[in-house]
Amino acid sequence: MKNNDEKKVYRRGRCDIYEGEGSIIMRLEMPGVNKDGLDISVDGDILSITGRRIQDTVKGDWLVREIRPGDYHMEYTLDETIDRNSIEAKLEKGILTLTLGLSENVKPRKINVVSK
Amino acid sequence: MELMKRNNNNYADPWNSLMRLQNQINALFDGDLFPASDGLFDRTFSPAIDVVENPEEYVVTCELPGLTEKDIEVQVANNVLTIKGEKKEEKADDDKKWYRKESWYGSFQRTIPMPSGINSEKITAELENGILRLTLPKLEEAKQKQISVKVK
Repeated sequence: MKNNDEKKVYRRGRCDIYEGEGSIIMRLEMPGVNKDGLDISVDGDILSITGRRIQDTVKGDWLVREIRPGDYHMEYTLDETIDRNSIEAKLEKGILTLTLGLSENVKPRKINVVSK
Repeated sequence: MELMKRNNNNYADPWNSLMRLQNQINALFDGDLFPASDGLFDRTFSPAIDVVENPEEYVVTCELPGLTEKDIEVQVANNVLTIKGEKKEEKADDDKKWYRKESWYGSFQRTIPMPSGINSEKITAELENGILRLTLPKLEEAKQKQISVKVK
């Protein structure tokens, strides 16, 4: 991480991970992030997701403040079962859905037995 | 945090369970991942809200990822603002193989007492990127007016 980023406060979104058909599906709740503020990258084994929130333009005094400030940043380690080239992302209603394809050699393969 | 297959083979290894415990305790400090509930026995989830006041209006912001406008009900009565709704799960999760589940589903309700002097006819609500934003304009007579005092 760069030095000037160190002061920044990041928050982590809620995350669901489950197995889909031939893939691993990650659902990350990132309310307040739109497509332009999203940055997903895979560097070696590290999948990092950064979501910049739309800056609040409302000015005034806070009466209630419960929403944690800061952008989203999450890092996940991918193991060798994930195909790095088949990662798809979809952002809808503040929820980011990542579909991580499993690599071919992990998928169950049926081998036909031929009797002679 | 790792996206690895959970390994159940090492039951005999005490370090494995200790490491897992450490990970779980670390996760507790990871932020407000669990929705706040108001009381000890209150099982209703409540999403986080912000309320900002400026001379013209009150602005209420609420984090509701994954909800559509049909799932949300907003009411104002006697200066009490109520945000009600239900966060529905997309599909039944019985047949899924879960690695991690942090999100919550169910009904929620937030009631916020507002100061008097809200123009209840001009309240607007918009939902974008999982954020609900309500704008409650003040009545003309409730707005602070600057009265210049002339010094003779």
